[in-house]
Amino acid sequence: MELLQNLVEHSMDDDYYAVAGRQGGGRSTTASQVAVMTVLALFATLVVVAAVQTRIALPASQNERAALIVQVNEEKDIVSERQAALATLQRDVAALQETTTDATLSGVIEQQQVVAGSVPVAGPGVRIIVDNADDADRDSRGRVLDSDLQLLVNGLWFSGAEAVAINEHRLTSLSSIRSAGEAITVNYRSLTPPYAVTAVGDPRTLQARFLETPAGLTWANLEANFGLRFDANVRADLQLPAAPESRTAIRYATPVRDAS
Amino acid sequence: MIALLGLVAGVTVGLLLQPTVPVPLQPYLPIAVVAALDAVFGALRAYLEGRFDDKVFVISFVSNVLIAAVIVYIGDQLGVGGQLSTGVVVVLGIRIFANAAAIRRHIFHA
Repeated sequence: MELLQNLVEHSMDDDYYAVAGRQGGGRSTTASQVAVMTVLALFATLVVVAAVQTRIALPASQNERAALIVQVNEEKDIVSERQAALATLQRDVAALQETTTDATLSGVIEQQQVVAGSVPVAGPGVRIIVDNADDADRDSRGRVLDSDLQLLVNGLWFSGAEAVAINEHRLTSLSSIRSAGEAITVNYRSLTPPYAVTAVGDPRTLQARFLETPAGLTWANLEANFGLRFDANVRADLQLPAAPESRTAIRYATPVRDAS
Repeated sequence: MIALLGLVAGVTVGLLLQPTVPVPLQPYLPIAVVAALDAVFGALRAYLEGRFDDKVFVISFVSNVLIAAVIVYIGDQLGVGGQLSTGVVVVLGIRIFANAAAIRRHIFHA
């Protein structure tokens, strides 16, 4: 507050008071009057120049803004055009794939799509429910880890599974099973226990073979010693969804045609 | 009379020549205008109070403009140009309002 008061009280230059007190009123000579006139002329010029400058600069910045807006709109149009073209091309590809007369080729494609995980599949197989132990909150060893799930899935592949999904997330050759913080993520989606691992394969041998693999033995150990839940059931009709597009899209790898 | 003559001459010169301010000097123009306004209002108040002095006015005007420009320049060099400009405008603005109030009192006796 003192600062503001000081500002207001001394708003006029103190020199005016000092000079007035010393000389009893300012003297005015021709030279000093000319100086005052010059300074005032300078002041007026300054104000006019500032005003003119602002008026000149204003349209320039407005023009720039307008030009940028036009540019943005043009780019947006291009993007939507290309998206439309992409959709058309994708439809063409699908149509061409359907009209392919080569039965063996379409059979190969179908098979590869199942292997790649880009189409939903159904079939007999095993459904395994695994979950944390009841006392997992107190004892962290009772938790299902990402490595446990990896081991489980690996064991299923090894035992002859043809398609595997965890909690309705289809696994592909690009999928990862890893822990992110508290949760385990598959295909970058967080899962919550219990984890339902479904595997399509030979219903007669899949479960038995799995239990004999190192993965099966490890899980039996986990169940016995740490109280993890492990329930395996043979099912006649399992439905596995397709993997998300991001887990089947190839961006960098290209097939080498002349290898064979 | 002299003052009016000077103002008219300045406006005429400014409008006729329309000098373009070099780009490096443009940031200082608004601050210089505010500082000059402060000096002119102070002078007007001093004139109405009968204390006006040519020398004090010329010196206060020139030094106000220069100091304001220097503060902005230093601020720009130190990366706090915007804040220092704001500070200068606030202080000078308060002074201008205080002087305007004094001038009002002198003219309208209210």
